[in-house]
Amino acid sequence: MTEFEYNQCVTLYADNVFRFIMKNIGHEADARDIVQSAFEKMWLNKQHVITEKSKSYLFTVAYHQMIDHIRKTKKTKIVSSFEQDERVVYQTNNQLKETLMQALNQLNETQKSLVLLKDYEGYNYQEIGEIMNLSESQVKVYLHRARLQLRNYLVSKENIS
Amino acid sequence: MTINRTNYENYFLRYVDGDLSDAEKLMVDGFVAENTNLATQLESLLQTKFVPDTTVVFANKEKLYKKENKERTVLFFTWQKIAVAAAFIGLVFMAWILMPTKESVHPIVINAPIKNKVADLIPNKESKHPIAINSIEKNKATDLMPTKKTILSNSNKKQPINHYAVQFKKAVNNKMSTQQINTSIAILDNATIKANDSRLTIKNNENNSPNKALNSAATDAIALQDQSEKTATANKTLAASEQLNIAVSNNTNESSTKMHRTVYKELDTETDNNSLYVGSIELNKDKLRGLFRKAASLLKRKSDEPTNNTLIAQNNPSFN
Repeated sequence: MTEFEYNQCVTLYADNVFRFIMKNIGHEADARDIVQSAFEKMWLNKQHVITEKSKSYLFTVAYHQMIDHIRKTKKTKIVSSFEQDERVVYQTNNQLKETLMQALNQLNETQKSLVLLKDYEGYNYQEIGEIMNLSESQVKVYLHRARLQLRNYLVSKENIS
Repeated sequence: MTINRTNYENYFLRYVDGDLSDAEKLMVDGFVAENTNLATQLESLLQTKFVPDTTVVFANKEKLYKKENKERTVLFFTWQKIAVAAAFIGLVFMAWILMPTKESVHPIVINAPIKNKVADLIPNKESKHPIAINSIEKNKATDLMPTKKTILSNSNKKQPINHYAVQFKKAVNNKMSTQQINTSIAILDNATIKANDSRLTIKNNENNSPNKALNSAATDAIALQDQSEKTATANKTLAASEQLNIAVSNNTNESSTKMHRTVYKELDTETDNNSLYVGSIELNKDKLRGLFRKAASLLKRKSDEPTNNTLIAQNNPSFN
């Protein structure tokens, strides 16, 4: 990977990676740090990174750094930050999206990442498995469980409201 | 495998994930159309699909852009490298200074005008010009007759005997008479003896006649032989002169071309004496001589110092 190709990756994928991390952890500053360190790592290893696989490389690095970050920080802090984020989301998005985001927050980290990688980035099962170090069948099962969980949440909310 | 009421959920989930082929999608659409009560389940699953939030972007993306820094290599000069460079520069400077100039080395003068025939035949230390070839050929036999002054001056300058041999061979080229040749031999004897015994040389030089010179040279040679028994060096010189005499008498009938070769050899030898070759660089030996003398005197002085100290130490017991 050349300098030009790296900078192209920044232009094309920085927002995608940031969005993926941001929706997962819900904290902008931490998400920025993770994205920056992911790009830094890619720059350092640019000689070994194939340009065609640079996007999945970035997501893989960012995902694992995000997991490390989540393990380090306390769960309570994460929840409180989500609450702050939710207020912002509520102000800008419609009702369905708000309920969907609430449903997403009910999922565990793996399910969340699976759903976001599938819906935001359109990766297939195999690609998601490569990013998250899971088998294709595992991705399929975990993702379907997450979908059903989200649907149940949405249905239950509709019933309540 | 077709969709039915038992496996429809798996098909619906794959439909939401976009994992179905076009044919499978059509099959699912047909199944939903037939089973409208299951359509709501598909719609609720489709609602779980997230749409990318384009409002969330990474601000200040410029921070992520990188530019390669081309590192400049810094050369560190160690003292060894500097020393080698200085030595090389010094050698080049010395070679440039000691290089023989045009003034010091003169080419062979051909067709040079003869101003002083006698002076041409007498090797002059001050003049570094080789003997002109044409002038040698024009020499007459009488030119080879040395005066007292000439021989004395030559012997004082310690010129090699070869010079006289050359003169003699030149004379042969000009078809000198036997008497004249004998005179030249006498001159050679004179010069040889002069180098070893100045008294005898003076005596020989008093005779200006060629016949007298030959006779007196023979007499003096015998006398010298008697005297030189005391010293080995005198013997050797005389023996050499006798051998030269015999060689000269035998070679009188030889061709003139051989004699010419000897003349050129003499010229080459003189040129070689002045130049010293260091690799491919030709240096003037005369210029180096002073340097060598200084170096020799310095070394001698240094070698003398410890000797003096030891002598002092031996004489003065308080040093011990």
